[in-house]
Amino acid sequence: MKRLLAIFMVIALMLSLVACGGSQQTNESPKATPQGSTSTGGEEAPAEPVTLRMITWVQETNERAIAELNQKFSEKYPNVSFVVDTVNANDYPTLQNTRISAGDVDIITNLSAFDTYPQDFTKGADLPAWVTFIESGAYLDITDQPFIKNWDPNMIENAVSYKGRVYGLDMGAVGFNGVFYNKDIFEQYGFEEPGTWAEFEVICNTLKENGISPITVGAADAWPLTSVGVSAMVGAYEPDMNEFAKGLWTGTRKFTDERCMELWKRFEQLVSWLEPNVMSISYGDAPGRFVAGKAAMMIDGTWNAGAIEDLDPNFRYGYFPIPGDVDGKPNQLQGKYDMQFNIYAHSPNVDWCLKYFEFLSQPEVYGPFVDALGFFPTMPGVQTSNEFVNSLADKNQRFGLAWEKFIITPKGIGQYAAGQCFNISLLKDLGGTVDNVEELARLAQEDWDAALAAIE
Amino acid sequence: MQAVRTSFKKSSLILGIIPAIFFQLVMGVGPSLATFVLSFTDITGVKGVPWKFIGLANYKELFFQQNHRDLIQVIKNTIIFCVAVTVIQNLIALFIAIALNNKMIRGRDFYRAVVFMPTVLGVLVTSLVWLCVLNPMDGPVAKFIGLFGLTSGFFTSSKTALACCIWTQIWMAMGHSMVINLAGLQSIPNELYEAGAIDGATGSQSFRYITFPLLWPTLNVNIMLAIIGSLQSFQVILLTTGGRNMATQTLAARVMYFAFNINSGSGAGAMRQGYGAAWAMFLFVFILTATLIYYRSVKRRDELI
Repeated sequence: MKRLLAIFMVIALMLSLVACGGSQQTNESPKATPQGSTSTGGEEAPAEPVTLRMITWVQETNERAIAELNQKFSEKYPNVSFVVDTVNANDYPTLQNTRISAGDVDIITNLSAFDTYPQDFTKGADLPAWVTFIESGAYLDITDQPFIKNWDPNMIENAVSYKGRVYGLDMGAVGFNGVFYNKDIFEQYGFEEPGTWAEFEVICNTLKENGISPITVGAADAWPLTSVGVSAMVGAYEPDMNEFAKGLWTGTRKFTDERCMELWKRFEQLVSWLEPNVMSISYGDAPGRFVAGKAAMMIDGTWNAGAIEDLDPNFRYGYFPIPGDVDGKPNQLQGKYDMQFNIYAHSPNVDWCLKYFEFLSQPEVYGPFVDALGFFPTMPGVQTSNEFVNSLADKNQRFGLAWEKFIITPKGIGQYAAGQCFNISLLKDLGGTVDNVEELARLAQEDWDAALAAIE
Repeated sequence: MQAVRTSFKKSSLILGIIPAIFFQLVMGVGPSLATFVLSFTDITGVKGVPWKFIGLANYKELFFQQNHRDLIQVIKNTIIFCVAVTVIQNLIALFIAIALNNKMIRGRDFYRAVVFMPTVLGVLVTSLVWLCVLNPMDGPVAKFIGLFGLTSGFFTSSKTALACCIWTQIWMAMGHSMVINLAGLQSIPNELYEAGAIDGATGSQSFRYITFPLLWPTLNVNIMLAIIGSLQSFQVILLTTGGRNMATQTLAARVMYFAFNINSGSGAGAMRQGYGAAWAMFLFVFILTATLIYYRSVKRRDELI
């Protein structure tokens, strides 16, 4: 009996291990041959109905734009239908991981472009997930596809390429270093878009004195404050963010140095201008509060203008980057390439996914799509007719990357310096446990030093 | 003939038990052993990514490279969650079971069903219910405490989030403990209470000298289940606070965080199931230690009695 039990245990262990790693396959990215050689050439409908499985994250404007795009594709190819699964942006990496692992997806959307790659000074930092996916062969190599030439070569090189090969298409750029503002409230108090931090201070303090919450943000989801808000504040303050990030790694800059403490003080001010109980406002609820006049401004990215217009098409709003010390009026947008499309390399419907990419690469299809998304176009010759995006033209003269694209934290970093490093949600005023910014700066530096020491 | 019959009986027993053993080994023991083995690898869980054995690197990262302050906070949260859930859940469940075992109460079956309902509803509904009730903007509790000039962030405040998670877990699991206690109470012979009453025992004396000693084995089972259940629990935390705040991170939530990349945000790295497995082994040792400590202390108490 003992021998029988031992045999069973060994079998059980082997079965479990096989279940974990049994599906290993080539880790070389399959390359797509040019469209002409695919089996589903021409514009004929497939003999059998095809369902393309897509995954994306919850964002009303994006979801609607994708639905319209898919509908157009289905009108052209009637036998092709779509199943689009969405989850909250925080949970999206999990959905992406699990669906790719299960092979249960055809087209993957990514929250960002291929960026935030470890640099020579970020010793021991983990590789980002997108590298893992490319190296595992999950993303189809589309370098040789003819439709690539339709797109902006800068976007192709900087947003969707890795080691000289192309793995996706990026749908546009977005800015997220600013706030939406209520034009009626601003006009009521005679405010203009601020050019400096001092002007911004006056606006926020005046609003507060008059019983109006200056700023709202969907802080319950964490990232709208600790990623978007923090990126905007650091971007407004630090002229060279790469140098700042490098300085933190090499020890020439500290979270507690004099210059950084000025920034922390600004964070303290920002926290005092946020709506009461802001930590319980979800990302989805924030536009509603903003449109309802619960706050005069809302920290968010330019991508969410559609949500505001959906709530009230007549609502008068604008967008300005959070200003710094120098009057750079109009201050310039910082952000990232947003929403990348990738094809799951082992999809049984690769040919139809490529056809979808080809369809999307036509200016007459991409134009309305990028309009609906509210992004800055990444296809030469395509001009957006989105009024809001066009209204930002003067703020988009020297578009730069945001702080989140520069900062990489050491492996094993503690909570006080994790993410974008300035974790203001840990302050007591926002329901955290840290008394003030001086204490938070000290704790952040301790966590940073401990992580660097552990790497050594 | 007798020997043949005995041999047949023995063989049938073995044959009958083999499927159960096989199922248990494949679904229980196998994955546990696999977790142990995988904790020495850098497996990501992403299909197609090659993985290899990396020795003790995951454990080294867990104990030495990871931020010590965070590790201590996670352990502290786990202990608070476990002790609070075990003690409060069992006290309330015992009180309700005794109350609802009283034949004087009319409609006690209905009340039992009401208390048991959260267990049936499951963790998702329970968490959503308490997220609504404890909504700091316009939830009923916020409005009530607002009458006294008080405010709280509940699940969003580092000061109250863990307490809110603990209460949600208790509310969800209490019905289960109550049912086990009820079964234990109903197995106590009524004659003992009658004899006690003849001897002049008061209500509290009956509880102390009859109910409690005879219910002790049942309570033991409940306590043990609560210890193990609360240490393994991560669902309530995931569904209420998302575990984004370290104030509610427990060992089980940490396993999910690393193994399945849960709530690491949009700038996330890939899943790290090897490292997650090392956390799972740490959790296993933690549960084993807690259970053994409890078991030994109970054994000592029983020996003294």
